Amino acid sequence: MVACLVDLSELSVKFSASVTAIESLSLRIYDKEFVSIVGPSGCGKTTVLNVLAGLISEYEGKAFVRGQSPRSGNPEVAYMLARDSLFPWRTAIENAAYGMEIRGVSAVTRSQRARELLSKVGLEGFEHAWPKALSQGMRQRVALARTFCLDSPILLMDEPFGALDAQTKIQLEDLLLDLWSTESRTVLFVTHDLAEAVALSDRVIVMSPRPGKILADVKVELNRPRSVRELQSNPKFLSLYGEIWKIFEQGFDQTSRSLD
Amino acid sequence: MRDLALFTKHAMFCFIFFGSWELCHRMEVLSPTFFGSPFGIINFLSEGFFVKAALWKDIGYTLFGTVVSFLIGTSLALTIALIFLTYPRIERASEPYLTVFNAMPRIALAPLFLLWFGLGLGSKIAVGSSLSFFIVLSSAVAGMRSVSPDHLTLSRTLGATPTQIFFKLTMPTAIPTLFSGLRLGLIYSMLGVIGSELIAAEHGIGQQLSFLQSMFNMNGVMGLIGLLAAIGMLLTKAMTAIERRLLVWQ
Repeated sequence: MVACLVDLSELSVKFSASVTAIESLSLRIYDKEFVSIVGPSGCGKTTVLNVLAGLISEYEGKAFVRGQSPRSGNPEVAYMLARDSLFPWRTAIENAAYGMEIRGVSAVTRSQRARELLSKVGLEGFEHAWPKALSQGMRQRVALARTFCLDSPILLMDEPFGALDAQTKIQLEDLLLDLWSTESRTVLFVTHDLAEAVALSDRVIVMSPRPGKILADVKVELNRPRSVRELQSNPKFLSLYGEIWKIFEQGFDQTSRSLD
Repeated sequence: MRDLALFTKHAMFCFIFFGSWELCHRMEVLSPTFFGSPFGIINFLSEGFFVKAALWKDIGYTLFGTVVSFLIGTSLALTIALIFLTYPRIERASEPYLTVFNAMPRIALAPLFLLWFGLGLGSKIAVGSSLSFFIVLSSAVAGMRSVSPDHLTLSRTLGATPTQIFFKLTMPTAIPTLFSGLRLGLIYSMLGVIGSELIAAEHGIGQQLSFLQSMFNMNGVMGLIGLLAAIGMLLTKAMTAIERRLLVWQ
C-alpha cells in the first residue's frame, strides 16, 4: 500500500473575518507522486503550501504531513519559493548548501552533495560564481539544486518557473522531471500554467477563484519518462489540457455568476 | 594610461594652484597673517615632523581618541540596534528621546563633557562617541531591517534558529548599509575629537590648531588643516578597502 504523505481534510484558512483564502479543501498526496495545483491568482494555492510548511498555523480542519501536524522547520519538507531567493553574498555552491548548513549537515557532506546537485542541474564549473554573475535561468537552477540537496521526502514548489522565458522554462521543467525521477521525491507544485501542470504531474488539482475550493482532481495518464518539449505536440497532452481548461473556465463562470 | 593622464592633470592643477598662491605671497598680494604660503607650510610641517617631532605626538593623541571613540560609539550602536531589532517596543518607547539627542548639535555638549571627564582624552572620546553612535545606530537598524522576506521565509521553513538567522541572514544583509554608516561615523568621531580639542585640551591636533591660530601662525594653521584632510582621506580609504573586501559579492 502506498503511504499517504500529505493529508488535508476540510481545510479552511481565513485571513480576516471577510477574507477566506481556502474553504473546505480536502486533498491526499501519496508517496512519490507529482501533484500540481492550478488556479487563478489569489485562489489560495500558496496558502496550501504555507500551511504544509508550517508558516500558517491558524486554520480550520485537519492537516497532516507524514501523519504529523505541519510545523515550521520540519525536515520532512523542503520549500522552493517563486523567486530564486539566492543570497547575493554566497556563491552558487554556498547557496546550494544553505539548507543543509541550517539543518546541521557536516561541511564535507554538504560540499559533496551541493557539487553533485549543481552538476546535475548543469552548473558544473559555476560552483564559485556569485549570483550577480548568473542568468535568471541559472539562478533558478541553483535554487532547484538547493531544494534537492535536502533529503526531505516532500517538496513544496511555489511557481518556481513563473518568471522565466518560455524556452528556459521548458528546459527547467525537463530538468525538474529528471531530478524528480532520479531523486524519487513527492512533489506538490503550484503553478498558473496549465500546460506546465499537465506536462509535469501525475495529478492536477484545479482550484476555484477565492475562496479556493477544489473543482477537480484530474489524473494525468501520460507515459513516463516524459519530455516537456515533445509533449507540446502530443494529442493526449493537448486533449487533457483542453479538458482541464474547460473545468478552469467553468469555475470562473460560476464565480462570476455568484458575484453578479 | 588613463590613470597616468588623470594624475598628470591633477599634478598640473596642484602646481598651478600652489604656484599662484606662492607667487601672490611673494608679490605681497596675499597677506601672510591670513593666508600663509605653501613653502611656509612645508617648512612648518617638516619642522613639526622631523626637527621638533612634536606633531607625531599630537597626531597620536587625535588618532587614538578618534579610533577609541569610534569603537565605543559603534559597539554601543550595534548593541542598541540589536535590542531594537529584537524588541521593537523598546525602540518605539525610546524613539522620542533618541530624536531629541540626535537633533541636538552634540559639539555643544563638549563643555559639559570637559567638566565631567576633564581636559584629557576622556572628554574627547565622549564627544566623538556621541557623534558616531547615532550615525551607526540608524544605518545598523536600517540595514538589519532590510532582510528580504523571501530569505526569511526560506530560512524559517528550513528550521533556522534566531542565532542562525542573525549571523547568516541579518548581518550579511545589513553590511552594505552598515558600512556607509561606519564610514561616516569614523569621520564624525574625528570631528568630535578635533572639535573638543579646539575648545580645551592638553594635546592633539585640535589643541595645536587653536594655539597656532591664537599666535596668528597661518602656515601652521593651514598645514594642520591639510594634515587633517589627509588623515580623514586615509581613514576613509582604509574603510573603503575593508568594505570592498567584505562586499566582493556586490
